[in-house]
Amino acid sequence: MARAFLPATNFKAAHSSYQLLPFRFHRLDTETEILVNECGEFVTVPRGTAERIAHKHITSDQDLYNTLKAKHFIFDEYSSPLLDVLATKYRTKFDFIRGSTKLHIFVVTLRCDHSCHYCQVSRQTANKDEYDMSEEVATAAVAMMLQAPSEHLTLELQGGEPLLAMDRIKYIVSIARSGAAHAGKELDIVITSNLAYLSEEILEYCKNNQIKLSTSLDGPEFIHNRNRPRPGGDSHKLAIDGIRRARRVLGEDRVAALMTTTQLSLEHPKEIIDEYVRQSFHSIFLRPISPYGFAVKSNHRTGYEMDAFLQFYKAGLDYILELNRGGYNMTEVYTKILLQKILTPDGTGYVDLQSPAGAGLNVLVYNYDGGVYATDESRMLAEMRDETFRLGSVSTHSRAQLFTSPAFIRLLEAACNQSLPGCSDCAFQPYCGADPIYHHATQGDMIGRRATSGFCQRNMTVIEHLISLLRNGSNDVQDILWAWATDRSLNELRASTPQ
Amino acid sequence: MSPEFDRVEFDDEHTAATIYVDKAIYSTSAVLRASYWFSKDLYFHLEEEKQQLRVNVGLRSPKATLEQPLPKKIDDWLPGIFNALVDAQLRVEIQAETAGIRELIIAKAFAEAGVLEDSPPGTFEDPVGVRNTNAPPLVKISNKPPG
Repeated sequence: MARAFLPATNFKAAHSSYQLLPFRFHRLDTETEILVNECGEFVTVPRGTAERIAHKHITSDQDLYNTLKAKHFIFDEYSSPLLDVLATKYRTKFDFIRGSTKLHIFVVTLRCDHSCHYCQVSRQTANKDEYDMSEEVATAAVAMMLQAPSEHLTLELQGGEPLLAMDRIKYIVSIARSGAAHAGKELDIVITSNLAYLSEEILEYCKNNQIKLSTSLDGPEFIHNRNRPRPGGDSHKLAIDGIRRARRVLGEDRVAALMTTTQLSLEHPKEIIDEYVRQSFHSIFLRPISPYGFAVKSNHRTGYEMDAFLQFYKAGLDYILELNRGGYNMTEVYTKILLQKILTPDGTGYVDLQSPAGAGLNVLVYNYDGGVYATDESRMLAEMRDETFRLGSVSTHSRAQLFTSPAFIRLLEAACNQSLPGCSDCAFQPYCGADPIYHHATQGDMIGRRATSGFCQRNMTVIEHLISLLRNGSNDVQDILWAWATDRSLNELRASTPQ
Repeated sequence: MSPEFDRVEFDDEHTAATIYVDKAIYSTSAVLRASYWFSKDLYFHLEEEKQQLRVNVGLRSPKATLEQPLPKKIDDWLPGIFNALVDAQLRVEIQAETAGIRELIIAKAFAEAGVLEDSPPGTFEDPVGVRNTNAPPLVKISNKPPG
């Protein structure tokens, strides 16, 4: 579709009278600062430039003037139409708000054969009737899921270990599939499992019902088995065997793996990444441990300071870039999400980096007992007897009542980084998110204090690091990062870029 | 040291200081915003006087500890605080100048949600209105500074 624009002369300023558009700045080092506008477009400039811009010392004969105007940092009397473009860009960035709630997590059972140090739930000897989701709760939860305005729903079945409650999974899948078809909604289904109970029969069932599998892989055997103990000490062997069989039956792209970084992992970034390469994965998410549930109680075994994680992350990212330079395509997921926010017009579907926070709006968790929580982390807190983010119950509340509950209103008040102290004038605000649940868990306050926030420290450090790589990294590194941001392989990126 | 900070008083141990900030240069909002980021290591107390703000600042942990065997003196923090004040004041000024246009951009961005009383003019095919000579301008901009 062709778009009509006025001739170029209409956009040239006759003099240097300009006004400011909203932007924020951040000192990168002693020489450089970064300016970021409302939509996340950025320029890196010599220190002092923000002040010169704000005090109207940039003249129209300078190249910088045109750059600032083109990237929506300033406007003059000829900029009127460009403001509509800026509004459109803003809308694009926030497209994730449209059609809530997309992700629906069902905790079908709390029973599990593993006793992972960082997990909040371990009911190895629990009785089935006590800790499995009942048919009544499952029916009410599916009905509530289908009321979500989103036309594309993802149903994630997790536990505990959900494969221990296969009869309940089959019931939920059957009513969810027919309900979604009736409501005209698309439905993706994922089972999150440790794969220890993955029989051929279950695999056939997954294949016939287009169900994807997601599992945990914390690294090589010595790390995985230490992090994820089970009777027999063979968690790693079972996970690897399950991944291979699942790929054979379901297809290579129907099985994903996630890792959690424990204190033991911190010393082994290369070994963990090598394990993912050995298992032919092409992405890895270097995830810090969540400060919830047993992870907090067993801090002496698994916990660490954010500084230590960030060292691990940087070493891991360096190694992943090296692998890519050597010809093996592998992405680091968190880096890719941030790069897409920094380098492309799009926002993100990743709820932890959304503002308004994705909690509730983009994810809901239905616990085995019918309790509805804003996020999985909220449910973890509930396991530690903190019910702050329990929005209601599928048995007694409507969707409207969940979203007007005092718990959700309190959460929403701290859900926009645009209005949070420390965030409201942070240059990285468009790249970051708000996480009221993290701050409640770690600081006892949903709004939180940025100066001591692990969330803020992690994102500030990672974003600064990525900006530095984009500015100062080798051509290879820059190409790799651009390839991740634009969802292409390095070869595809290079083939599409004129040399 | 910058002239606007020539009045800094220290306690005997240099674990606390009082900074006198000229209100004609720095707003209370800027001082609060700058102080916020140091709250991990320092405590702040502000008192407003007629022409200046009195900023009392002290070390949270002035004593040596195993984690911090050589605690910094308050003097070591001052350059960082002064730079943060300059940045914070600049941010306040940029936000004040751009608040109106920011609201307009956001309102236009979400116009479909009914935020605006009147739909913004223009269409995707003709966003500037060049094909419709009778169309009103999309946004009226004045070169007059706000307020």
